[in-house]
Amino acid sequence: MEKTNENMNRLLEMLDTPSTYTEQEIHDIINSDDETRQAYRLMAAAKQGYRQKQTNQPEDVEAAWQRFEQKNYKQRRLLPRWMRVAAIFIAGVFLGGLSFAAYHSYTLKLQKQHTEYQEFADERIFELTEDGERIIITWLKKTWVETDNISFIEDNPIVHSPALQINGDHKAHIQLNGEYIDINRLPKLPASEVKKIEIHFNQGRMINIITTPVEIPESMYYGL
Amino acid sequence: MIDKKRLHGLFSHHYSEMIHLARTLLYDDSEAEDVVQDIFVRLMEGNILPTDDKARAYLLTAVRNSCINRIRQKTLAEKVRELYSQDTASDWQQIEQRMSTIEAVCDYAETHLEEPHLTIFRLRFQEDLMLKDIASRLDMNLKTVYKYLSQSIKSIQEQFRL
Repeated sequence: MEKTNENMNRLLEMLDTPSTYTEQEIHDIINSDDETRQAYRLMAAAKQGYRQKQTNQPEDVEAAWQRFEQKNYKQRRLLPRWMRVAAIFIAGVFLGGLSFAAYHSYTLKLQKQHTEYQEFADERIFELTEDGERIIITWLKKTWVETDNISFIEDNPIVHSPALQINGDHKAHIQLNGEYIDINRLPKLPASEVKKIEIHFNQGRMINIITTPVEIPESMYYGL
Repeated sequence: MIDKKRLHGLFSHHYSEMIHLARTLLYDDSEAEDVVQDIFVRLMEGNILPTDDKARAYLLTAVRNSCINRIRQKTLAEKVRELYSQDTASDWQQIEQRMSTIEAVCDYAETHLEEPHLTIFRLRFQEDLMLKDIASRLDMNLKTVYKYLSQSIKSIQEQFRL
């Protein structure tokens, strides 16, 4: 009981000044024990709950639409006929000249994309920390990530998992395409090989890395 | 591009609920508005028009996911300072369940905590004050504030497992 109180006090203290703690310290404090972890969730829920009550006021939807419209729809101005004809003629001359430049621009763009891919390809999926007791998993933008409760397409250019313990209390189990892998013989795969990553803490902290092609549900396109 | 009139219809019908959810999750009005506007821009540019019966679930799930993406891009210190939830419900039924749970947590606190526990609880989670500021405002010892808040959290924890 005394230990739990101590953990709770450490949590409350840390929440007041989190920037004075390292990420590892924050992580350790929140996860000191199940009670403390629950306490953090409850505090987050309390704040959200109050926020939910505060925001539950009627909205001026039409004013919001006006802001949206102003920002996203450009007003079209009607031009006299002679100006439209002149504009079409000028556009035609421009387009002729631009087509040559466009070809070169397209080639350059392809080269740029290729370079970007090469940079990403150097990242490995698995990285064992120096003490050999934790593992970091890397995945890239547009990877499909599925956790216990959410499924989404990664937005960030490159993402590392928090260091997952492979020994001790919070041991993580790593699978590659559904098969458990020996953490002492991690394959040297580039992160660009990852098609999907499944993170299931409800199933004994299991991480399944899928490198075979997957069909992403349509509802998740455009980051939705 | 989606017909403007149809997009306006969708916007008028769902904006209120979307903005409430985004504000609840992000605690920041202007960021919340960006999230909702971005979703309509993506609908417009992607030429996506969710069907009427699924539109609500689709749009609210989109808000939820966009908010989570924004939260994920913050540092851990920023996340805990703002007490962002680490919950990641994905489908709309789970989100609705979560929303009713957080409301129940607040209702429970409001109806069951006695003074000075309730005032401290409100100052911390409604007004977002640091504990030393609460101690100073209530002219109370900091350790006493810790004690009362811990007691409040434990008593609510006995009712809710999140």
